[in-house]
Amino acid sequence: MAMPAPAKETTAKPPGQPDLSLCVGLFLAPAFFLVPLLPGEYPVYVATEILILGLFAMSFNLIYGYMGQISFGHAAYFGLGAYATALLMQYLQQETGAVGYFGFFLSMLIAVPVSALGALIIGFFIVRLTGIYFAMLSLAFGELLFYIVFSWYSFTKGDDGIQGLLPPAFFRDVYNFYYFTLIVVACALLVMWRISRSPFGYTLRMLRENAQRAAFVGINVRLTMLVNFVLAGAFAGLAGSLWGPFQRSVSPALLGWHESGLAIFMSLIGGAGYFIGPVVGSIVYTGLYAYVTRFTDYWPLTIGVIILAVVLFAPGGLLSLLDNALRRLREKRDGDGERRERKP
Amino acid sequence: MGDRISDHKWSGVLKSMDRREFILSSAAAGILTMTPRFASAGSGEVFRVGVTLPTTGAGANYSVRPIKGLPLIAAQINKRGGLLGKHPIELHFRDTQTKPAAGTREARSLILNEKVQAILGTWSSAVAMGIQEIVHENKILHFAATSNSSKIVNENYTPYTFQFGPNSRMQSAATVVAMKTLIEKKGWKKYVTLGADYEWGRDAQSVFVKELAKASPGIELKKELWFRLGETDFSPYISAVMALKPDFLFGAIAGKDNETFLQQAKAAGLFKRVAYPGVFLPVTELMQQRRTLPRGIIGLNRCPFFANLDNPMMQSYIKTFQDEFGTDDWPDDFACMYFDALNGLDQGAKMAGSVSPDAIKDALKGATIDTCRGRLAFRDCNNQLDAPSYVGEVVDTPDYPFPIFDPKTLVVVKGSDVWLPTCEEVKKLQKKRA
Repeated sequence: MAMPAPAKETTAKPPGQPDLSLCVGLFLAPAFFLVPLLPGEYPVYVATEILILGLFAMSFNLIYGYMGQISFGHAAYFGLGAYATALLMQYLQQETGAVGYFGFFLSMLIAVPVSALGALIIGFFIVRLTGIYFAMLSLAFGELLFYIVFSWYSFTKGDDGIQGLLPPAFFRDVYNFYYFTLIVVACALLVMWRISRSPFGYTLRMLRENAQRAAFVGINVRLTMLVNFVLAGAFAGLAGSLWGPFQRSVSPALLGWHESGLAIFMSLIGGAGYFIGPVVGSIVYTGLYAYVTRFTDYWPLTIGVIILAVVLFAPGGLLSLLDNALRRLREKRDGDGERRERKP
Repeated sequence: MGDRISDHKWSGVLKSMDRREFILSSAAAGILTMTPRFASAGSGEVFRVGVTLPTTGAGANYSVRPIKGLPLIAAQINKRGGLLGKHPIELHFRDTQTKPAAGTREARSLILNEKVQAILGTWSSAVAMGIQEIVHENKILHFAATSNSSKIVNENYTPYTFQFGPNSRMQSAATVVAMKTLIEKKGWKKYVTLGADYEWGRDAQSVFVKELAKASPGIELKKELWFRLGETDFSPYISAVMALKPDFLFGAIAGKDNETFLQQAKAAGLFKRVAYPGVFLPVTELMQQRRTLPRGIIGLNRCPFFANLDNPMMQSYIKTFQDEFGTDDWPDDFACMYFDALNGLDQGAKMAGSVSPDAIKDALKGATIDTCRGRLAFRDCNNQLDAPSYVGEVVDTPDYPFPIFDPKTLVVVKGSDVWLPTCEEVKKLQKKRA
């Protein structure tokens, strides 16, 4: 049984029709570039978090939006990446408590293969199932990793987490770290964009739509799912590697199901059927969180109402509203054109 | 198929709802949640204090009374004009959700948006340690009123953090000191341990066993029992303890596991046969579990009002609190330690003659302050308050509608008697900060 995943832009577009994700992306790129011009440092912190969590949600959407399976344990790979970076940074810390540039980049780079390896091992078992069984098994493995990190005091520092993850002097400046994050996330999105437009990306869509037929035409379904699962884990790990130096600490909660829920919420809010949808979801979720919690304790109620509204009125996510509005405009324009042509 | 079923369900929901009504009620709910989240200080150059406490998540239960009471203490200070008589305190409350990421995010927001100069909080040690990184970088005062991992003042030390309760190591050692007294008084000879089978449980158990062997060499450990984290059925362990017939049981059990264990052990009659000393029982639990809490068990407390009724500051806390919330409510341990933290800030400003965080930090280093537990000093090398631990037997008294610790047998262990012996040892643990 395949889980319902909205399929809009992930299918091929008629020639000449602009790609909504590309348009939104082209609008967001300069906007993100100009965020540091806003007054104060706080918007830059919020934007950094939007980017990191946006990348995490995008990685989740490789599994949900493209492959049609839902993972309730995707934060495990985000957390693995964060912990790999944190542990290595801590190991490489100098007498002064700081880490050098080489150590910093090495700590971040190690997160990608660690998370990918974790996803490979877990994915080997998970891709044998689909639908609700896939979802439940991903949750079970996610919680297993959470408990290992939570309980293994001598290695992971257990429920206390790891603190003092100070990046090198240049990246301690919030603006420098922001631009660094922007570059890393932009590069990751370009690679994901390329993957989504490759034959592999179209194979994933085929698995989502009809895995039986895909197998019938000779596609190795399990292997394709496993490769995608590993890719999604690697990108989640990359996002996780940015988290520790940004927050200066990591904790086991990063691997928990609450964190996995974030990626799901963001994808649903932005639109899981659109390449850029999870980033839009991250802007809405993280942006609202950053400012709403200044005025109320009832954040869960606030986000609950928002998700309810999205599910009821824009089940395809916020981008689907824009997409529908643009389509209506196009239809109106085409209709007007036809009427004009019919006039003698 | 799955699509069709869910579509049908949603369309059913939509049909049964008036869209306009839904939008209006959603908007109203949103506006209602936008309640003011700060206690205003009136006019003048204000001193802003952030309060990071969980109002959702595991620690929410222990935040109720600090949140109710802190504005009252701030108002008392503000009646005198505020800090140094001219800087009224303005409190800004934030929910940490008992999550480190949320805690650090809120700490940053408080510092950058609200321009707070001090942060009080929080409940979870993991969240407090996350916040320490942010306050250290921004040179903001941090009063860890109730989170009590020893790492806060040792491994993760920053000169900007001051700890107001006995830390976890001090509490374990205090239990041993109290146990020594009880072993001598009651003539106990053998005991059993029951611990959560993960690093903390094993660590807490081994520290206790090692220290107790030193303090009471004659005592015999009959058996070590371990349960998995999140255990829901303690009956095999309870039966095993009863079969071994020890004089007392030491439990390295925390949080929800402890609650489950207490309920099941009470139902099985364990506490009628075996003493159970050392369990953390704040006033909050004594009040909330007044009907179910087994009498006779020996609990540990950090700041019980009933043990400090002769202290004028505690008398003032109780009066202030009950004037506002009625005589059937009492400030719990957590509230009292937060009140001490805010009064500590006031005293620190007086000592420094300034409200600059750096000046207050320097003034409080090694200083002695008035608290509801008496005049207590901060340890010079790690800013740990010489906070006592209270160990006593849970009994009913005619004075309160809930059980308290028996005043006749209450053991008060001074903080300085049980903290790490030398500052050199402490400094070895403290990490270097860039």
